[in-house]
Amino acid sequence: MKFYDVVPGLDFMEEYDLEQSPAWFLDATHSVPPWTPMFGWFWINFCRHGMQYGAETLSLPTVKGWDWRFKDGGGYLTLLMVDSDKEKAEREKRFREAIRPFVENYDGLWGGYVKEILKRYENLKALDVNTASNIKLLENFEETIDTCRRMWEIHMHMMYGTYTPYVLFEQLCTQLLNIDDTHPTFHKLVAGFDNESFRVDRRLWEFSKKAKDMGLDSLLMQTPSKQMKAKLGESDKGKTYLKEFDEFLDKEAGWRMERMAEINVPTWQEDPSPGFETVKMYLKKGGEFDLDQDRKKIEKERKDAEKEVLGKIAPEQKGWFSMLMKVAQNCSRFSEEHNHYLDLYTHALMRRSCMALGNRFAKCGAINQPGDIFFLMPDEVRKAGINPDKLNLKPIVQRRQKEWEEWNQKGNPPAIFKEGFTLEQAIGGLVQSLDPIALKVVVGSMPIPKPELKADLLGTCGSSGVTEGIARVVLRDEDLPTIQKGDILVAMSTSPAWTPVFSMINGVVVDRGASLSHAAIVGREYGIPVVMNVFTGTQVIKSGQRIRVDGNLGAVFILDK
Amino acid sequence: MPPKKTKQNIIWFKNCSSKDFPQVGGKNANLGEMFQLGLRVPPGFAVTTNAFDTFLDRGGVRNKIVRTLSQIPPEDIHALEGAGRQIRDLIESTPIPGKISKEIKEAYQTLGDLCGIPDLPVAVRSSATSEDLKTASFAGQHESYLWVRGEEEVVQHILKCWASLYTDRAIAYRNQIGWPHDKVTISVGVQKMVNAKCAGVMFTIDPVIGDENKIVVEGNWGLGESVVKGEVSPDHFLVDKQSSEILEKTVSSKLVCYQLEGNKVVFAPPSPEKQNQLCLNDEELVEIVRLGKISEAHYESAQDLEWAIDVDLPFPENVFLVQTRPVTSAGKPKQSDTDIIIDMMSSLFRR
Repeated sequence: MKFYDVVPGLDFMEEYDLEQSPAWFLDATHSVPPWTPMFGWFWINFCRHGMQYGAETLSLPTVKGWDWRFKDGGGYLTLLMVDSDKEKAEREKRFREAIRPFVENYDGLWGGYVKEILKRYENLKALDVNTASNIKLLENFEETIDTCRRMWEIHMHMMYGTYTPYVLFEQLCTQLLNIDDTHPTFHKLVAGFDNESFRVDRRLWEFSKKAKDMGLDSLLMQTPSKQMKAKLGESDKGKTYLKEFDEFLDKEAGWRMERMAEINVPTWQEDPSPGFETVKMYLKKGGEFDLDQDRKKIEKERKDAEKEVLGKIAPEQKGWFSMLMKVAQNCSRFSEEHNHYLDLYTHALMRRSCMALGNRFAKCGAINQPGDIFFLMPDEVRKAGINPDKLNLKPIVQRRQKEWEEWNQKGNPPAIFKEGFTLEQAIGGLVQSLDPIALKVVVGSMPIPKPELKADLLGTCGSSGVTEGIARVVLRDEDLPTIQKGDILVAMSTSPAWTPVFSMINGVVVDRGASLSHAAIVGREYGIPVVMNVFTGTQVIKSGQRIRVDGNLGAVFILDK
Repeated sequence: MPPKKTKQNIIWFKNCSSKDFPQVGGKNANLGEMFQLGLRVPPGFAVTTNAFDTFLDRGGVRNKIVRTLSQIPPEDIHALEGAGRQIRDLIESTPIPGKISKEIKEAYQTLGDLCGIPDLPVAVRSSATSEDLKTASFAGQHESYLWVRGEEEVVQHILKCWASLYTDRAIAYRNQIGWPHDKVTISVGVQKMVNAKCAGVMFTIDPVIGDENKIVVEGNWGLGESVVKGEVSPDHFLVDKQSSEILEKTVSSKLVCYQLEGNKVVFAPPSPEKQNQLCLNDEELVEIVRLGKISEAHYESAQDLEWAIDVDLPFPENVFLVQTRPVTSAGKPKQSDTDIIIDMMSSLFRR
């Protein structure tokens, strides 16, 4: 049996790839812990394609997107810069036309994309995977691959086009008003928008209220979430409740997983425990949906900040300034919505398609269990697709699984540099690229030294405010349930699956991040302080310690050492 | 009898006009022409082609150049690069003949005395002549060195401008069109750097409503970039074109400006008391408007000008025009908000 590369053609090869670029960065937000081979194949191929597609269709003058490689379950990336001034000038000409729809018709553009991708999802879901033939399952798998490709095209075209005006807005705020994107007033300007995550939160609160009204609250509180479906199925009342909950999962919230960038964990569809956990949390808290009130306050603060800022802008500049502000404000909404409509939904359907084939393969003994499919890659699935009973894929699974366990054991280095190349040079390159995603999501601004504060950690302000609480260091998604109400979350970075815990916690400290990172955007929407780019928070802070987080100063103090 | 102009090594802008083009090159001739019209530009002088030609002949430099270039096969890029480097090094390391060097230093000294500043900061720029205009526009070889101070530095930068005649691209281009390398020549301009107290733009027509009877002046503290790039809301002045009567003076809170610190330009807030103070007095405003009207009359169309007021010189010698060009959008509807945003977004990538 021959063993192939996990991502043929894109597996990291030091001697060639360091020649192409002297610096490759680990995508720690998405590929820690290491990806399974199947998911890695999807991400490396299509995220890579999407970034280059996005940069090309927008004709970004200075950068052609990112290149990606797969190494031991980690995604490694480098920027593709535009080198000659002549090419920059030519790209700039096309850029001016390509960016126009983002200024003139943002909602139409994004709305059109959402419609397009939802239609693809409906087509994929239309297949009953339990009764379909192998041929149909394989066809569904191919369509899923194509959907993933298209999803990334939309994703990166939108993301580059949304973040570019944001960068301009931030720069103008610095120049005209002397407030940059770590300033509290700036944060108020870009927060207080309704989005998909809040709608899901609100719906879950409604389910807690419904449970109370139907007299199901004590049953819900006493039943472990894993057994909830079975328990509710025992009574008529429970069945009615469950039916509505299932519908909510299918229509609104089910197509997601606790880890956004992986497909080897169940979706809410398969295991709705995370949803039930949130319902229980609301039952425990009781009272009204207080997030609504918080949100109204944040929305009002935004409107006040808008007025304040526009008052300082010269009359003849007001027109375009307020227009640009609206365009830049799309960032907050886009950041949460794209996770919902794009990454999470597509990944859930990738899992659905893979698991359907995994079930067939396992049934006839080509692999041991359905989840083994994640240790294969598409060419091997195609090879076995119609007649899996004729093939034994177990040796491949066994070997790749063993490797994957080793990757998990050792972890991946945060960056790989050519000999003699330094981190400073590499960061300099990222900044030079003027790539809005690299600048505002990945790199961020460096903390300003403030020795007079005697802080234990210094970072930048992602969301303003001051709070104290018990630190909870969360390195993996599995540790999320350890978080208690009022805690302060300490992590390397956060991802969309973590959004619901933001309603419980009082503050956030992340090792890396910029003003458009998930932690900053969601922190602002929930009105809790966030300190970013502290670099060593997860090493210095221990779970259980009492800490003070000062978002305004970008400082963290450990109160009991 | 004064020496004939053709043999002069130095010609002051104020004594120079378009007919001196062969000796001073296009850029210097234009500056001279503006002087003759009464459109005040920062003072300075041209180092003529005569100076360059004498330099080539005295040191035997010309022969060495011809010899070096005749040895390379026309298609050999690497040899060409080597030869170009060699010639540029040769020019930059050969001393300028004593008499010419003395004249340059004396002229620089005079310029400094005029402004009352020792080691006056100047711009040193090449000014292409007809023989080489095509190469210049093709090879983009208009070297400009800003904030040059001290006589030795000035001489050194003049050599650099001379050497720029032999960039690899310029040599390759002349090879291609068969132009002899020893028949090209160049002039260099040495001009006071504007040390702007304040600066800005002027339209000899109200560009928003297209009113031809009004002149609009906008300004901010420091260099003109902040106004030109629209990075600040500037002070706004409206003047009647006929009577030069000041119709409106609107002070704006000017939160940032480009200022000189040493030889570095920094983008920073002006001092708090200046932020809400008009950057021009009436006298200065009227002088700016006077220059604008001369320009419009000469070019026979509404002009879009850049002006600056220098701190080193007394009024009115310190009121300069830095740029004049016809207004393109006069009377046309204002640029849309979308276009303004797109303009700014694409400039983001030009840092």
